[in-house]
Amino acid sequence: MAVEFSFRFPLPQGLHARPAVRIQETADRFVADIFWDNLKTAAVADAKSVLSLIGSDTQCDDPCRLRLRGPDEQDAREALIRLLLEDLPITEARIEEALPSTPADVPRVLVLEKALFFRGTPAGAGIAFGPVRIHDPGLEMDGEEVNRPAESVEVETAVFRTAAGKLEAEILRQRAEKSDPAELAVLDSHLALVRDRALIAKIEHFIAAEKNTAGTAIARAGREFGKTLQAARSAYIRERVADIKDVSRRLRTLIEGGPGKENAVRLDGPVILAAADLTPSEFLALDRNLLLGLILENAGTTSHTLILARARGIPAVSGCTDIRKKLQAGENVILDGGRGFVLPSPSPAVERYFERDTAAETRKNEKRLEKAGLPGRTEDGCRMEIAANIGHAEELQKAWVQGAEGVGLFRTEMLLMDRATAPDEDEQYAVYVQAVRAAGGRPVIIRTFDIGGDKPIPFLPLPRENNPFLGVRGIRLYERCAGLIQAQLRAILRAAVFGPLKIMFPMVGTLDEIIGLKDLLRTVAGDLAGASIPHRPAIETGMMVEVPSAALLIDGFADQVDFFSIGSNDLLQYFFAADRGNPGVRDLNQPLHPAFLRLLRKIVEDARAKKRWVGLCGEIAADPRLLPLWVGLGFDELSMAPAAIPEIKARLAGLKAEDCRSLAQTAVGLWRRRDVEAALDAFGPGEPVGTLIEPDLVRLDSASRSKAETMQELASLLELSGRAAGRTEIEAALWRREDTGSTGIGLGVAIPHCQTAAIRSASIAVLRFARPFPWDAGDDEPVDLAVMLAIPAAGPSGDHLKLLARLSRRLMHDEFREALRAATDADSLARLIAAAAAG
Amino acid sequence: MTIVAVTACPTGIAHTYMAAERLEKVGKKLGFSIKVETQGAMGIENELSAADIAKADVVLFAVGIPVLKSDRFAGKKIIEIGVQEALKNAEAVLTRIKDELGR
Repeated sequence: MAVEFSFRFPLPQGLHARPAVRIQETADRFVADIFWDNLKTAAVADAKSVLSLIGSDTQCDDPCRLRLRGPDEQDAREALIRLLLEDLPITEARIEEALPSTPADVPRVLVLEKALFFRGTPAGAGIAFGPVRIHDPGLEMDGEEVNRPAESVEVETAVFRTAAGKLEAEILRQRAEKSDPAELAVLDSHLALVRDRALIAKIEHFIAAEKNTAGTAIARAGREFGKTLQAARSAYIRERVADIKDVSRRLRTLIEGGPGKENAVRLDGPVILAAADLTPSEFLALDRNLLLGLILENAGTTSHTLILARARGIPAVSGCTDIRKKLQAGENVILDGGRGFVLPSPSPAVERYFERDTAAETRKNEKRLEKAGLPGRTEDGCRMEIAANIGHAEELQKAWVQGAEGVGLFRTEMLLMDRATAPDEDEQYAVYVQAVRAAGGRPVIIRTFDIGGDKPIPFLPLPRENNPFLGVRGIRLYERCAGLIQAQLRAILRAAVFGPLKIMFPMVGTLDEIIGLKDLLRTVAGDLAGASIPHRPAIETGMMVEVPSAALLIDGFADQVDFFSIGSNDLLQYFFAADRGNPGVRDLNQPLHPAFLRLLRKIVEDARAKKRWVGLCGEIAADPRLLPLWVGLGFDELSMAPAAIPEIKARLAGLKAEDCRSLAQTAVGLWRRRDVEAALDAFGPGEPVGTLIEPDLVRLDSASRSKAETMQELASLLELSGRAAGRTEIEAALWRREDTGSTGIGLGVAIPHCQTAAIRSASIAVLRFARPFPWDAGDDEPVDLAVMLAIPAAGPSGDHLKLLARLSRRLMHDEFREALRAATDADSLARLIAAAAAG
Repeated sequence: MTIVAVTACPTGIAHTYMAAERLEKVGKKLGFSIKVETQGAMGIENELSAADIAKADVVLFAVGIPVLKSDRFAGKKIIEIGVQEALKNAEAVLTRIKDELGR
């Protein structure tokens, strides 16, 4: 006897881990054998194995059949029908509703392609494409297998069963102690795996048939199941692969002892690295030629590792929770550091989108580099020095190419990392001389060692502190390592003979501290003079303003130092009492809060009253959106990662200092961050340009072959022209309009348009397609001409409105469209458009 | 045969004017006496007067948003279509109106 039941699989997300566990649990209550046939994929699964069920790759609406055989087959059939058709659809629907939906600013191609992607915080602009390397020795099942000869099949089987029993007991014990539903769910899925019939059978098969040791058999079975599920497009199933790894690891640990010692990350080919977090020294130890991109789970965007990654132009995303469980080692991944996306195994259309996006970014940067060599100044001639932050002298070459006018911050603590002994005076001297020579007369500000309990230095045993950021760090530490600091000051004074080196002290909070440091500097200079060693005693000296108490005593400090540089990362976190690296309080650490802007204004005003200059460094100095505020507050210098310089200079050249000053004046008078945000948005990206179209906005042989690619190309063109900031927003705005109704107007023409704050000035762009394509699904008339109208958020001026209305009318005239189609170069097409608009 | 029309679209920058131009062109070709009012970002232009409306055999709205001052058309025979339809199918729409009026 046997019974059957045929049905279509009802769950929209397909048969993933959660429902599979429910089915397996129900099936397990009966003695009957129960098989799950997916008639579409022709897979036959054991309904009492979660892994086997998931492996059937059952998607929504797939025709399926249950086959049951055994004494209680009728009862089992009824129970499973109830579960499948009544219970699961309701409970699953409730859970799916609670999941976050797709955010609005996702590139449309990902939605159209139904691409799987994960989001984190953008942490380093740029797009990387390549295989992913997962840095988590504990989770790697491909790790070394313990090499010992297998005992008899009976012994190895017993070893495995003992370990499985122990693990089951261990999980049950852990389960009893937990109450958090998420943790319980993980433990439950581990429990289901350790009891999974298919997994157990596979392991015992390797032991019996292939004479493997228990450990090897577990590793092989884990890998085999992992591979089956690896192709899945569902994030849930990918997480299940990580669970298999985890259970496999725990079993092997029980058999073979603890996991091997964690080694330094060694890259054996070009990869995108995914890790929980990396220390700066781990990062520096990586072969930079092989590191394509970086995905971190826990780091905040101002972690030093990410600062280093940005300095090297490595695309990075942080805050990607559990990303290592969601990606498969070795699979190809697109990493979009600018938008914070991680896309595993992209489809060809997605790949093409990001290739084109990379090309657009490259063209934009090339265009910016053309002007990067010019000194930083606003459109109305207000000068602002744009300098580079570096950690190694070798980064200087890149900094000059990007247009740095000097080094605003040389982080010397990098010299201390990755070594067993302290660098002596001569070694440091060599580094500083290398830097000052490479600078070729540009100023270089050397910040003395900024170390503390959060940055372990092997040769400098620092006590562990409960709260290292508020502990003995920066200059507070100098008394304990006097030799190291004296060597540094001597090396700087000696190197200063070769060019304009300056000294800057970190973490100064009181006047006595800076007076003491100046005394030390004089003593050191005296020693050098006494020993007749060439040096420059009169060196410009400055201090970082990062302790809030110092920020309110600038007039006093101004008698002691020549300049101030605001260390905004630390000043922000001390000022708001919110850790910059802690995602839980990131929202409180806000540069746009009026209280912080008031503090900055006071620093600048007090310094200016004493004729001292003030720079700004830290992440906020490199944010083009915030630039109008820094101009308006009157900073003399901004210092940032070299990669950020071209964009900042370009943006600076489009700003009017006078407008920026009134913006800053408004902003400091407000009370809430969101009000400052609004003022900044209303400020807009700059002055409008007069004309509607120019030849650079025309492409006569566009390679775009879909609506999605057209939107992308139009947005890139507009950004490249400098008429708008941010192609992502323009593209999104074009789609927002398109979603309210097609902009295909028949006659082979589409007129996509948008209105957004990203647009500086009303603009028209025209694409003529090399290969015409249908604009809308089900529309058989191919479009060969796209005329885009882009309007600023505030609306076009009255003049522009008239021009656009006239152009729209002209597009209805056959002879005008034919003329557009017949134009032989971009120049004449642009002239046709301009003439039509002029009437 | 006389027809008056109003065109209006949500952004009021392009479609309003394209639809107006299209209706004027096709209307003339089909032998209508036609006047089209645009309600776009520049406000109401080529406004239909009470006399224009009184003379008309039919009123055509080619709109994606509500028509302003719609009380002017009280008691008239009104045909409403989308802006997009006016662009793509102006000829078919006006031919059908012509056939109905001729009957």
